[in-house]
Amino acid sequence: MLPRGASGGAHPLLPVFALLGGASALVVGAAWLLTVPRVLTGFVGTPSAVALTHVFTLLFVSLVYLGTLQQLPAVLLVTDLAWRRSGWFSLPVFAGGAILLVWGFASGFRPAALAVGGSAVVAALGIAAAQVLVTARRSPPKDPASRGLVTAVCYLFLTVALGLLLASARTSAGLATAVGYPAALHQTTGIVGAFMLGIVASGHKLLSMFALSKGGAVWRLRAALYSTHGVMASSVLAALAPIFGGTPALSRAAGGIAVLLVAVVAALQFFEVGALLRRRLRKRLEAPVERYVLAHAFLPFAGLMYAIGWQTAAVAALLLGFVGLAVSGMLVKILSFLTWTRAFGAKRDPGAPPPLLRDLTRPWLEPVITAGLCLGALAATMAVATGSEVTARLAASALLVGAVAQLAQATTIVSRTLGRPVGRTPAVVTTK
Amino acid sequence: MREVFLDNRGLQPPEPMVRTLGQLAELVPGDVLTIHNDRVPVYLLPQLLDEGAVYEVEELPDGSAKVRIVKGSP
Repeated sequence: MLPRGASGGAHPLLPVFALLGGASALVVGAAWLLTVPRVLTGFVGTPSAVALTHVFTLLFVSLVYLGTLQQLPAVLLVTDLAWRRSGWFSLPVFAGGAILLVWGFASGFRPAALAVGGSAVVAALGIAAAQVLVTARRSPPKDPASRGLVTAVCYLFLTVALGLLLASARTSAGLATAVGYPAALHQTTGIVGAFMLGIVASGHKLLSMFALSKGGAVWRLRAALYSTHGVMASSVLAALAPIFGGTPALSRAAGGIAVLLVAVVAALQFFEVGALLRRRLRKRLEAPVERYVLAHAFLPFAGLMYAIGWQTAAVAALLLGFVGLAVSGMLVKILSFLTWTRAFGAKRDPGAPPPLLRDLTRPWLEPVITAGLCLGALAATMAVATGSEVTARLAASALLVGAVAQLAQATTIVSRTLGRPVGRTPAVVTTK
Repeated sequence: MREVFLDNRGLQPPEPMVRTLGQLAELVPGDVLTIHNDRVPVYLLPQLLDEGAVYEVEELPDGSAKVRIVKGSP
């Protein structure tokens, strides 16, 4: 049998729980959105809007992110993950804290719920970031993609720390005076520093693996990493300039540079994915990988929305379209690998050979997931842009269909692998 | 029957997997490909089955692993 930690990561059930939890959260969020579609057409700072945004960013995207961090760093850095068991603590603390936060937002920004939930989320992601950093210290990253992943995890921690600061500034006038109300910095750190860079870095490796690509250009990855740092530095300057006596013009200029650099990162990633696909050995991509690739169509779409002047719609396109589809595609692929390895890496039974990866899924669900999430993201963006409640209802319905299909696919994969008996433990793995 | 050996040690992921599956595609059923990796290539194994191959993994004392792959019909 393969040792449980043969990949060098944590117990495979940890990411499996996280990925299933993330898929379930998207269903809950989409169903909730269907009951309050005006969230997409009204003011973005209402309790329901903020709560739903955090269902998506924390309970779907970040939970899946946190789950993959239990395996991916060890694979990419070719070493054992530090503090392998810490996930049994950090994952439940993160999920519990995020649920409390969402409830705190939804019930009118309850200070106690935001303080306790926010602290739990910060603590959990602090442990995860420290875990990745210690792992990287054991085996320093040798390429820009691995460095990008480590950096993105640090930005994810910074995002939630800034979020906790925001929540604190809401209830403390003294703190608000001292740090201002850096909502834009919190959002930029999350969307660009954590999510976009995370997809750029891990996606480069995963797409190369799933498409059997001989790789893109190292300079593009390096430029995307440095441009992301530039986005962060400019955003910090834009947020802090008013507090330290800087002129509004300086703050605006820094904000403009940040937007320009976001466009640079997006363009680099767009062309990098194209280069990876051109150099692939596997001509026919699997459906989840196609969904990951399709996510990149939302990058120019978001740019177009921004250029028109629909900035909130651009953010919706980036989050629901680019991040949502990319995470969904990788969720299905990663879950297949994790559960197969857990269940059949051990199998040594000539009478019952392990199933093929492609037999773990229900193929007809894949177009439903892709169409639902893609149409949902498009309609949500247009609803935000135009204020059309009909379009908002369409967006919520499509997202719900896609999210339910995704959860059905995830549970199918788990039941077709972990539902089967596991073989005994030989020293050598063989299918003979 | 051809026998091919690939030393994948020291390569950055996912290069060992891409190299292995790329080489496997150039072989004919019955040919043998043996790879030597820094670690057990756990995420390669299900892909080998999808390619119709059979494999045998030998973990070595230094933590590296050799995988003997016999190409089959997909």
